[in-house]
Amino acid sequence: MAASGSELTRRLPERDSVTQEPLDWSWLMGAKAEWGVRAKPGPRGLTLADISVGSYGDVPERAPLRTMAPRGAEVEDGVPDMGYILNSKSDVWSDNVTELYEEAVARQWSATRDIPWGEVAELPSDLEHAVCQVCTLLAEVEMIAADLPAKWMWRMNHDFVEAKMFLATQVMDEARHTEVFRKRALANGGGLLKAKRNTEEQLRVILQAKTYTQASALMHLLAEGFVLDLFRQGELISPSPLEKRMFRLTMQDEARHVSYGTLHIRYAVEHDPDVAEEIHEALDVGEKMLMELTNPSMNTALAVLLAGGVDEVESKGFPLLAQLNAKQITSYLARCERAGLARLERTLFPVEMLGIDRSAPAAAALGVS
Amino acid sequence: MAAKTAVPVDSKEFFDALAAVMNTHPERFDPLGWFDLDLGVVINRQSAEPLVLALRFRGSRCEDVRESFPDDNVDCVVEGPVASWAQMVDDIVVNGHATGRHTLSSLVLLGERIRLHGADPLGVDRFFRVAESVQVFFDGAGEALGAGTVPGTESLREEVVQVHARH
Repeated sequence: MAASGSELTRRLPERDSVTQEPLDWSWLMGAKAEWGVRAKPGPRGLTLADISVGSYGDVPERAPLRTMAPRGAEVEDGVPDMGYILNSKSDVWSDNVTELYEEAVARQWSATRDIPWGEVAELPSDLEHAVCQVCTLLAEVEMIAADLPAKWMWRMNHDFVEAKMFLATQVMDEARHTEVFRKRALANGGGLLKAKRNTEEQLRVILQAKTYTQASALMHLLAEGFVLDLFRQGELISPSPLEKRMFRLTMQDEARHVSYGTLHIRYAVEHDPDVAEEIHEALDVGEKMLMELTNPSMNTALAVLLAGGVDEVESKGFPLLAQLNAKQITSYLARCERAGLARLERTLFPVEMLGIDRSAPAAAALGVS
Repeated sequence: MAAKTAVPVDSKEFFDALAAVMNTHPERFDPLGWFDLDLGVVINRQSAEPLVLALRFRGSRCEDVRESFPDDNVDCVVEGPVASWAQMVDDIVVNGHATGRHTLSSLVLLGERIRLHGADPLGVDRFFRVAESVQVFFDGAGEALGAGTVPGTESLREEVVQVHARH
């Protein structure tokens, strides 16, 4: 057994031999640390779950300090206040956050390497225009899901570092999404097309949300939920295997973000029931915004891709688009229910037009079986 | 119409073989990253009870293929008639991997042929988090059936190609 800290310090000098300044050996005493606690790696290596041992795994409901000191360290008196405003676990936490962080790290991909750019196919002009318009919009909106967590992360207490780490992966994911859609727009002789005022108005509403939890509801549940379903549509709108792969890989990332947001909202509502009304109010604004600030350029481009060209856009493209839009709404409402928000009765989306009965039990109405 | 293969698609043996292919080829899955998923598979048959399986994925392995599952024991379920499953498998055998509208993500998008569902929306979203890996699992169908890529089994692949040509 190794010598104890107190035994070791007895053998060490008390002062620097050159400057004669006193030497600090307090760290060698082990402080209040759980000396002897040993995190054991599993088959995948040493995960965040593996190091949640002893008191290190205890995440406080309310952070006692506002410092960047790692949770579990002994903090010296008089450390400066970092000015964090999100100091309650319910402000940022979700019960799947450590799993999602590990999954995000394990499933990173490269927009440079993992998309078969060398196989980009020559497309008819209408399809290339439509792909470029969709990619223009996605290159525009994806970065909001990086800017928004970045806006809030430095206000999050460091005791909830796992949540900050996950959001850092989201920032990286969204950078890659912006990259891949920008690259696709430029890769086949088309380029970036129309950026619309309505889109920017939508992004501004999300970015300017008053609280992080309201922002998370608007971004993770509503906006990214809709985008996740849009990426799923990549199976139908992609004119070649290249675009299919692009949408599938972005879909995987987006689904992680939506999963975090769903359980963050749930955690927030469970631990502070008053916050539910704040979230509902934010979603009222968000849903209204989505309905009023429509993006006709995106819709027509998607319809052309769904129809395989302009010829069948009316007979095939728009009906299919309506079908897929309905799926976006039902998926979103099902996630709201999972997040602990009874949204079906209150939603501003015209669910009756989708054949959904507002007064029915949510699970049955939304087809969750 | 699907080709007649040595191991029926609607059998536990087929899924055991898919798991064996996955577990002997970690190099196909490691680049995509590990994943955890409990996936229910339901293959509906006209003249028999459905085949109901639970596939347990952990890391880069399919750790278990079990018959039947309680509703709350899987993240999500992919369910469809045997003909739709067989069409996907045929496409994989012919092309080496699922193509076009035969990928699982494509099939479950509209849910007309194979439906993705679950009691928990988060469980369904878990499928989307790892869909590429799940597809690569099913892309092992040719090898699971002993068709195409395994020397000496070219005739099975040829049979599937001919069936496709006729239909």
